This record gives sequence, structure tokens and C-alpha cells, in this order.
Amino acid sequence: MSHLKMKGQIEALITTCIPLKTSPIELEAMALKLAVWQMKNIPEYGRFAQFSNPSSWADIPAVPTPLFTAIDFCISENPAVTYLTSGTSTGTRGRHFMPTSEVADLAAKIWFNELIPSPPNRCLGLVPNPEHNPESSLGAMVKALFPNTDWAFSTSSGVNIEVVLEAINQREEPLFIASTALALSDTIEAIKNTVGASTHLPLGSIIMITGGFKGRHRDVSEDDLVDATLETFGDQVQIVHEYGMTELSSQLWDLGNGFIAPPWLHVYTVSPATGLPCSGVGLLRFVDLANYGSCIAIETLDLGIVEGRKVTLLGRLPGSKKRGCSLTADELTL
Amino acid sequence: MTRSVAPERLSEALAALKEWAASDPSSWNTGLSTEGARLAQKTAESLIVSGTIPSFTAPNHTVIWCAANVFTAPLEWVVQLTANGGTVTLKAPSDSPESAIGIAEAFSCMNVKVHTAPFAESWGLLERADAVIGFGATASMESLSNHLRPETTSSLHGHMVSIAIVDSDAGDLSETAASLAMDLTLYDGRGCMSPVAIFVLGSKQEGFAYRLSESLEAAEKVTPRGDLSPREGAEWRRKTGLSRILGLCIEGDNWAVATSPLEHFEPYGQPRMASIYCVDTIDSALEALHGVPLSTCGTNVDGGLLEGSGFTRICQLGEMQSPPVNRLHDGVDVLKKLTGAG
Repeated sequence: MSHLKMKGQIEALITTCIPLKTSPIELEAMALKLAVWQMKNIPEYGRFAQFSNPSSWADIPAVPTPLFTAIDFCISENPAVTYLTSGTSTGTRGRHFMPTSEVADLAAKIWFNELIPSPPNRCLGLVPNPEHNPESSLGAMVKALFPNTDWAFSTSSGVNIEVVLEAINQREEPLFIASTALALSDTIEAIKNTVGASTHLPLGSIIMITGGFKGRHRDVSEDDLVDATLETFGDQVQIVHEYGMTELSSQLWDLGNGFIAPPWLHVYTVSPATGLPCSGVGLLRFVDLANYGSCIAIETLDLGIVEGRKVTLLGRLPGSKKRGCSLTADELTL
Repeated sequence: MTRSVAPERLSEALAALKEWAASDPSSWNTGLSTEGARLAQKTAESLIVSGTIPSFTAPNHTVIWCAANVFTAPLEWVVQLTANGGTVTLKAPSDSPESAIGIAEAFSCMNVKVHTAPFAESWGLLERADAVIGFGATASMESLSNHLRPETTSSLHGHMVSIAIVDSDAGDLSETAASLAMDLTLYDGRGCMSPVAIFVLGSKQEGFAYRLSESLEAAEKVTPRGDLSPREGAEWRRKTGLSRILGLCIEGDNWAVATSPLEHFEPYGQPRMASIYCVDTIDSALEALHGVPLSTCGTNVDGGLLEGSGFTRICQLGEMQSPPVNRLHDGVDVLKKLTGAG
């Protein structure tokens, strides 16, 4: 099957699976088909998967995310999109090449609109602006959701508080603020230092928080950040959390009752030690049909619990117990 | 200053060693399988019994700061120090103190004690120490060093890396592979003298990988690998995945031979995983090792070719984790340092 034909099938599935209530069995069948297709057409994935013939979600070989620092998985020799990880865990940035961003954009929009059917019309982006940081998958997602975003963050100079205040001061319309936890914390701090007047947002405003503080100049607990956010922007704003990663094309959203994955993103957990599917706490594995042109299944280093389509995040897999005088990968990276 | 070791003290120390070697290691939380722990136990005993215990004036009281899981590491020092009249306190690894407790129990008649408090709550031990031997992560050893009294002698050993260099055209390939498999099997490859990487020269590089896989499979049947930690499991899947994509990966139950291009060299290993890098010359291997703190090199090439390469010990394959008593440890004469003579 050609690349474009497969892309068309995946786009059709993502577009219709919610209204048509596509069954998990049909979704799984499509995932298996895509996995085999990727093995045939993406040599790196084929060799990784040893050209196997998976028979279930959990049978689809899942690429550990750290491998994205060394290997490029892409159906196209000339990928149109390259997203890079932050590299905070290993010091080396992972790469996700895509033949096009169209499927990822579609997946982002459909799931967001399903969960938040009437979002504000205005968006303030406290995430990297894709015009200046085309490698940011987060920025690309925000742009896909809100093409007319006012960008108030840059990776070199941080939050631009003037743009933030300008957006906040247009009080007649609700505002969607898309922010990393770090940028939001910095913004709140800057507002405290510079503004005397109220910065409460109109009813219907939503603040999206994503990411953590790992390795950064500030470390605030999630509860403290939520409290500070409500104090700064008012109790009437809705806070939502987004979980995504460079290696995925789809996102999970938490509107207050745990992260929910879209139907085309299958999530399950494996025992970190054995890699076998497990119940309870385990490493999160994702089978993302929207990754149609790169790598359908990934294994993260994030721990969580999966109950149906609800995912509870429990943080990163801690470093291994120190054994002997051997170093672990975390302790020494050349 | 030397004197003859008192025969009765030596006998008592060796009797304690024998008692320890006969103990059941299954509850010692070594991270190894029971068979793996027994193999390590027997190897450690045999090396001490077959070696020569030197006579020296032992420090009155020595603290041995133990690393987790190379659970036999303190033994040679316990025997030498107690046979020469010294007393010893073992600072057990806080998250797995059982093996140090096992040593202390066997050597209780020789005044060997064990201390199980966490790392940061153990500095008080050093106030009573005339000498300290330490093993562990480099940062831990630096921290330990900062807490020593000026008059305390010490020999502290941070992390070092050991590797193997194999000429696939030299000797019998299967024998070479079997010897190396022993180096990878002892302590499941978690010790400082386990080969974290194997540089293979010659025309039979792939053949060597297959011979080694056969030997590792055979070793697994006799001495099963212990369980992987969660992080090791994740790392295992990353490394075998990389090798499947870029090189050759031969995998079995609890072992793997993972061949990767040299640019993906990593100076850390995985339990029972032979990480192979094919090279054309020894120099390319040494270049990859630039900046890595080197310990042992097991090899079947002429050791002379490795002169000046920075290894503190060069030995035959199969002997990497079986160093003789009285060797230089990481290039250091430990007893001289402890007695203030070095």
C-alpha cells in the first residue's frame, strides 16, 4: 500500500472513529495493519521489530523513547517535519521525523474539540512559537488548535510579560492560555512583580498546563502551581492538563478526572523490569495510529496506571538501584 | 614493617572464610540468582585460599565501606586485616545490608562488626577508624574522603570501567568465547572488573558473536542471571533495540550479544549482555575509551600491545573477575596505603 493511501486511511479513521464509535477491535485491526506496513516500509522499524507479525495491541513492538536520540524512524527520506525533544533526561535530543504534520494536526484538533467543544477564540501561547522553533511539537500542537495564537514565549528570552498583559487586559472575551508549568510559574511571578491591577480572566477562560520543572531554575509542586494560577487569574478559570511527547502525534487531556486518551491512541502498562504487560503501576506504552509515518508504538520512561482510557501519571522511572560499582546510563553519558 | 602473620590468627580467619563460603547466600539480596551468588562465593573463597596472605602491621581498626552487590569485595581485606590482628567494621550498603551482615556473622570471632545505618548517618564510624577502605560510586567516595580525619589512612575506589579486547583470529574461537562468557557471568556483569564492552578484531567477528551467544546460553542454564531492576529492564530493551537496528543482536532468555557500531560505544554494561563493538585496530578501541576511568582489560592479544593504554590490570579472558589476592587494586597497593607505607 502506498504511503498516501495509508495516510488517507488513517486520516479517515481519526476523523470518523468518534462519531461512528469505531469498536476497539476495528481500531486494533487497523493498528496491526499499520504496524506491519511500517515494518515493511520503514527499515529501522522493521529491523527493530524483527519483521514480526503482531496479533494484538501489546504485541506491536514498542520502541523505547531513548532510541529516538539515535535512530530516525520515518516513511519519507525527506521528512517535512522534525520535532526534537528537550534532551533534559539524557543531554541528547531525540528526533521525531514526520512525512507531514497533517495527521498529527488533525489528531490534535479532533481530540481537543471532542473534549473542549467550545474553547475560547483567543489563545495566548506560553510555549515555543513554531515560527521561531519549528522543532517544538508542543508549539505545533498549539498552533494547530489555535492558528491565531498570540505568542508570548521564546526559548531564548522566556516569557514576554508585555504580550501576556496585553492579552489578559482584553477582558471582553475568554482566553485560552497554553503554557508549560515552568512558563506559567514564571508568568505568575512576573505578574506579581509588575501588576497592581487584577489579572482575573473572564468566565470561560481555560489554562492548559503541560510539562514539569525537571532540571529547570524553578521547582513548584503541581498543587502550588494550581493554587497560584487560580489566585492570579481567578477561580472562574478552568485548568486543564495536557500530556504529550515529541515521539507521539496524539495527546491526552485531563479535564479534572485523569488523563484521557483518544480512541486511536491505545495506552497500556508494562513491567519496567520485564517489558511484559502488567496491571497496576507500570511503564506507559502508547500505540498511536496518528504516528502513521514514523513509529506506531513507543515505550516511555514514564510510570503510570491505566484504567480503561484513563491514565494516571506517576512520574519518571527512577534511576536503578546502584549495583556494585557499575554506572548506570543516568550517571554517565558520553 | 613486616612480620610473620600469626598462624593461629590466619587459621581462624580462614576458618571464618570457610564458614562464610558454606553459608546460604539466597537471602543476601545480592541481585544475583542463588546459583550466581554461590558461584561468586566459591570464586572469592578459592582466590583467597589459593593466594598468599601477607604479613603486615594491620591498622588497629579498619572501616570497609562496602558497595552494593559486589558482595564479596570486602572479603579479601577482612581476611588479610583480621589475620594480621586488626579489627574491622563493615559499613553495609544501606539498601542491601544482608551480605555484609553475612560476612560479619561468619567473622564475628575475629571482631568483625557491621554497621547498617544510611550513608549520611554513618560518618561517626570514621571517628574510630585508623584506616578506611571504600568502594562505590565516585561521588560517594569523594564525600567519604571529605569526612576522614587527617590521621586516618585510606584507600578509596570509585567507579572504574573494564573491557575486553578479542582477536577473533587468535586461538580457538569457542574457547575464547567460553572464557569471556565466564567474565560476563560472574556477578552478572555488574562488577568493576566485568567487561562493559568487548572490542572484537579480526576476520571472524560475527562468528565470535555467535560462539559467545552459545556460551552465554550454556552459562544461563547452569548459573541463571538474577532479576533486572526496573531501570535495567528499560535499558536492556533500549540497547537490544539499538543493536537490532544498527548491528547484530542475538538474544536468549536473560542474555544477549548486542553488536553495535563503535560510534554508539557506551562505557556501562547490562547484566549478561555482551556489548560488542567491531574494530579494525586496537587503537580505535583505545580511542573510544578516551576519558573513561579504566580498570581491567581481559584479552587474548599480546598484552604488550596495550602498554601505556591506561589499564590498571591486563589479564587473560576468563580471569577478569578473578584477580589474585595481593594485586594492585586499581593500580594501588592498598595495604601499603592503609599502613601508611605508600
